[in-house]
Amino acid sequence: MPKRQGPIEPAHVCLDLSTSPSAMSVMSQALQQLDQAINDADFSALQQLIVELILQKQGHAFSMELAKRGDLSIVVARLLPLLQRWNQEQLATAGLNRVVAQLEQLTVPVAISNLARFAPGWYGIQGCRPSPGIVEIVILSTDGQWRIFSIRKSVYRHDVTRHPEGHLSCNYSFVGVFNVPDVSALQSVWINGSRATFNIENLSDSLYLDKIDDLLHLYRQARVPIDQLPELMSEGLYDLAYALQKPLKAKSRWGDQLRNEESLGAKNSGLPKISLVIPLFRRWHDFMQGHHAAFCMDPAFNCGFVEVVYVIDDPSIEEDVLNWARTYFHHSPYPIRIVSLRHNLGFGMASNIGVFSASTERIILMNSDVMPSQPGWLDQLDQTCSHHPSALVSPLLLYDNDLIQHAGMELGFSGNSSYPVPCNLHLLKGLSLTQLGSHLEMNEWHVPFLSGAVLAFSRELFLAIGGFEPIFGRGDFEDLDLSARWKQINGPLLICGKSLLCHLERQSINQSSSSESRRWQERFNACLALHINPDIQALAEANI
Amino acid sequence: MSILYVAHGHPDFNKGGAEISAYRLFEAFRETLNWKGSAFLAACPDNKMLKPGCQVMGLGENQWLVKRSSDPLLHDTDVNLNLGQHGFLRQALSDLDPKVIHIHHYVHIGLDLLYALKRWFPDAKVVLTLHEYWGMCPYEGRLLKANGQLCLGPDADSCVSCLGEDVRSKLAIRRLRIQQYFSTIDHFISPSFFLKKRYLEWGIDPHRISVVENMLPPSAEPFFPKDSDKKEPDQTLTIGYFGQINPWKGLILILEALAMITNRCPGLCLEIHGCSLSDLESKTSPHPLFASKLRRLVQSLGPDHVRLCGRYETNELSSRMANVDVVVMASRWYENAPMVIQEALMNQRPVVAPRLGGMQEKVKDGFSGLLFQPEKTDHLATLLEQLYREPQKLKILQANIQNKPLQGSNSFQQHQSIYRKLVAQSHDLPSVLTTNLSLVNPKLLDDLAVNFEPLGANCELGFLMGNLGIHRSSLFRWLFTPLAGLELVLEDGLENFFSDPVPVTDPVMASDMVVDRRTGIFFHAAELRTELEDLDKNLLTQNGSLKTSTFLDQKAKYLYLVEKFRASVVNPLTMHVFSDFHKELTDDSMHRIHDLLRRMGKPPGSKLLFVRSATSNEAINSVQSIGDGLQIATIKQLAPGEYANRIDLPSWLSILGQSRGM
Repeated sequence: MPKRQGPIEPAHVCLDLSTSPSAMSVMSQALQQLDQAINDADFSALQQLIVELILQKQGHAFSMELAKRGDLSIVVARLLPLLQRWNQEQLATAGLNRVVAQLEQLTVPVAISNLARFAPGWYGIQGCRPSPGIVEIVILSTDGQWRIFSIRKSVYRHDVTRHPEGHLSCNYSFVGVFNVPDVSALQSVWINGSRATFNIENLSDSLYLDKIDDLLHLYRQARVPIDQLPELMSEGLYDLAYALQKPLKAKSRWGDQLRNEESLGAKNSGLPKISLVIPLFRRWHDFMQGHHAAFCMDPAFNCGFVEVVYVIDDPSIEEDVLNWARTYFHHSPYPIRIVSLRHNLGFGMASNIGVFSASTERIILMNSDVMPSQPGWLDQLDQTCSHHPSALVSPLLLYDNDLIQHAGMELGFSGNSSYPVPCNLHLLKGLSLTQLGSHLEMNEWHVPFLSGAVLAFSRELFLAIGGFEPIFGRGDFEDLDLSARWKQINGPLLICGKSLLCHLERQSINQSSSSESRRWQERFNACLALHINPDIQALAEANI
Repeated sequence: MSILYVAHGHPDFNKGGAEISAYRLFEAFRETLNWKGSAFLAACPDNKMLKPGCQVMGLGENQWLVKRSSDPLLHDTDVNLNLGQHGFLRQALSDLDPKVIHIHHYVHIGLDLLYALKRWFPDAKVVLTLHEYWGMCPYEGRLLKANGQLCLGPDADSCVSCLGEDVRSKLAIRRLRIQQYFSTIDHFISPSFFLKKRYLEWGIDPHRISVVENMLPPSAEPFFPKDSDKKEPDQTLTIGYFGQINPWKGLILILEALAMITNRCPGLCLEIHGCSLSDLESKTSPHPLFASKLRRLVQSLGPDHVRLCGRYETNELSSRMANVDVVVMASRWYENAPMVIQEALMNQRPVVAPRLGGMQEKVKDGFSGLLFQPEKTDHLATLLEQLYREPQKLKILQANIQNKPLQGSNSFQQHQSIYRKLVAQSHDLPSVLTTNLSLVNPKLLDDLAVNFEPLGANCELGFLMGNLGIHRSSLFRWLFTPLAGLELVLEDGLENFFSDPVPVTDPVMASDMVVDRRTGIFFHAAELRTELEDLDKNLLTQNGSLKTSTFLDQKAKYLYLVEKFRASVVNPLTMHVFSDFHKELTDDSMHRIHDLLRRMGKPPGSKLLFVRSATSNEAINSVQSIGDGLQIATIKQLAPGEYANRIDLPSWLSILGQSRGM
């Protein structure tokens, strides 16, 4: 018996590939079986068929048959990896070494630039090859399992003629995501029949935000036009993001993310009734100075009624923030709590954990780049919440020149009808307050969606719907999604027109990355919003 | 008692007017019996002067330089304040116990350092003299735009146009920081009405700001004036420019005006004091384009008409001014209280200045000098030619100056008065006690919003209304009267007690007020007061006609408010509230006021609430009904005049609620 390699079961297919007419007919039938197995990417069946070819020593005849065929690309991609794995002596004995040589001549060079393991069973791959056709990736796991994946959409022409890897004419890049849940590790990878060398970058232990950054980096490296991102979401991108964020959703583990907690400023004689939660990321010094100046001038902050909870979502600033705060908040007339997260988790998660750790039922969540325009804003928000306890309430947000920055949002869609991309349309943005018309006389009014820059709500209701979806990472569109879910499950979305704040807008979020990578994050999150929220999907369909 | 003066620079190194003014105060008060031990803290002109590792440097007895702030926008301090009792600055000031901290700038010093001073000396009252417009203008503090135009703002877009889009987000934060800092100041001093008016518009509490001139130098003896008697038409006229050489001081405009008339006025000569040759070199000047234009003009006018007299020390000013006939300045920004005007008038030199900012206030047109339209070269040229051709006019101006007391001659006394009043105030004033209005019965708030009507003498009622969100105007929110005055106006029928206003002179109380000479009732009328100051406090000319129409505007406002008040009296729902801040209320006076209001039509049973501080035996926050709507409430403490904003809001809400039966 020839020495076998791999977990091949005893033969169930019997091939007679003799040259007699009847044998030819049998061979034809056997080739049909082979074609079927190749088309089905049934590697188990293919293994058996190779065994039979060896047993029957019909390599020569098989080679002749192959020579008659035109396009062998699928044979190269799916059969060659298996043949190459076989014992070469046995292949030679059976005459199949000719077949191998024959198929190998049809392969094209390939280079894997990045192969990253994002989570057990989840991989991202990016590389290049000379042709723009479909990319077929065959992998063999360390425990002998064969898997195949195709990349049909993410193939792009480079803007250079030679790839940095040095392969001639590797002008086409490819990028994709594949999931092999029951595979422990990769042993070999073939791309369209070419065996590719690779180093796996194991990102399993990275933070969710970093994983998403790296994932999108692969797509940018592959020169994927950003406008094609929406149609790639269903090619594994969304599924991967969804899988990666799952561990963050468990509220029972949110407390584990807290590294430190420190109380400063006035000590409460009684319990505060409102927690003002402000996540901090990167830029903090002048923001905290501005907050402190404004809060000190607001009577609402001087009666123990409000506790300010800063959430340091950035370990790199933790020490500086605490050192500064210990000096400057020591005499603060209002109580301040500073909680530090172990890792940078992004605006949504930092908010979730801030709300989770707050002790009051009434929460006001505020971006760090929001500054009160005048005292009384908090009282007004509080009143509106009291009158509408199930509502999600936002103040009117203005630019520094008193033009409207946020007075509610409407949902729009860009992109084409097959792949719509949600976009937030801020109502009356950039216009003067007088254009609010009759709303100016109203205490509050309903709007379709709300920005997350400042939100007032019930802690219980917020946590009941899971807070912000962690999938949105650094931020953008998490507020759209929250608004949609809040309206569906909890209650109305309101603008409190008597509460005015100034939103400096995107002053902290843009600190984290280049404008290009920021653009990708935004578009990715827009696409995520569509995939994760059925109400947004319904609106997209209605829009079509 | 001592005073800690804080300035953005020390006059040993910085010759700016504000630094000099601050130091003159320091010198004057440290020699005064009750204020010995006063100290002076200034920002270091260059941090390289500090030894490595040092943040503070001693500079003689009770004088220090501190590390200069490197943040011109948010005014962070560069002094490490995290070091507790052993911090550099804390050690330096350890022997001080100031009762007043008088700040002359936060620029270069840093706001956080000033907060630290207040923490270290919690009993000290804080006075801030506003020398420029830095609070509202983050671009050089002059309200002069980068493009050379006067700023009509400030608003965010204007500031961004000067400073660039990159700092936009910081501007909003800066505004909050400055506002917060200003909210902690016990009293502001403005050297001009103009600057005060701009800051009032910006939001400073009118009750906490006084106009006080900068201190004059200790020796106010002028050199003998140049004898103008001998001057004949077309003889000579020497005009003097004194000051720094930069684009916003308007020297180019003066030279251009000169160039227009020198062919007709061969004896006209401009002496430029403060200018060295390096100021004319584009390579060495910080303003190269300006320097090169300046040099061209100086060269084209020639030495017969322009003399460069070099830099000067402050103590040389009088001798230099003695050689000129008239001092000219042409600043292009709203100068506040230019020291050169003060020095010129002290040396009996008339001043030609633009009708702009504080300059038009310090120079009385046709009396102590002449004013020209800002930026109007031809107008300045005309005025200079007039002085050249009419020496008698110059003589009259000089005589006027000689006969009029100098503005600022009582600056020391005014400062002392402010310090004393602040120090005398109770150290255990109520803090701003507030309550959340959402917890208050909304029916009560709605009721008060419509029916609350203040009476009488306490500014606290105005702040109370503001805190309750009542923003409507009201007669007794605008005027201020003690109890006797209230009885008088109610008895007189209200019509005629705003008839003879004069400016209030008390520096603390009189920040924006006029007082009716006949009744002694005070009115908030800043504009009228400023005009009356300019009109030598007389509303009428000798033939009895009005000198200003502002009085008529104010009178119309008054009559309108009287009508509103009358309507409130006859409304049965109105709750008239009198606060006995002056502790002058008696049972008789209460009944008299009640009777007077009833006579004006107040319906029986309609509420009249008298509020006074509780004595030690009385229940706090209680309301007693005497009958026919008359009620007496006792409250723990009424907010004192200087701290009228420190309202015990929860107590007020309690008694107002009880008065209404809610």
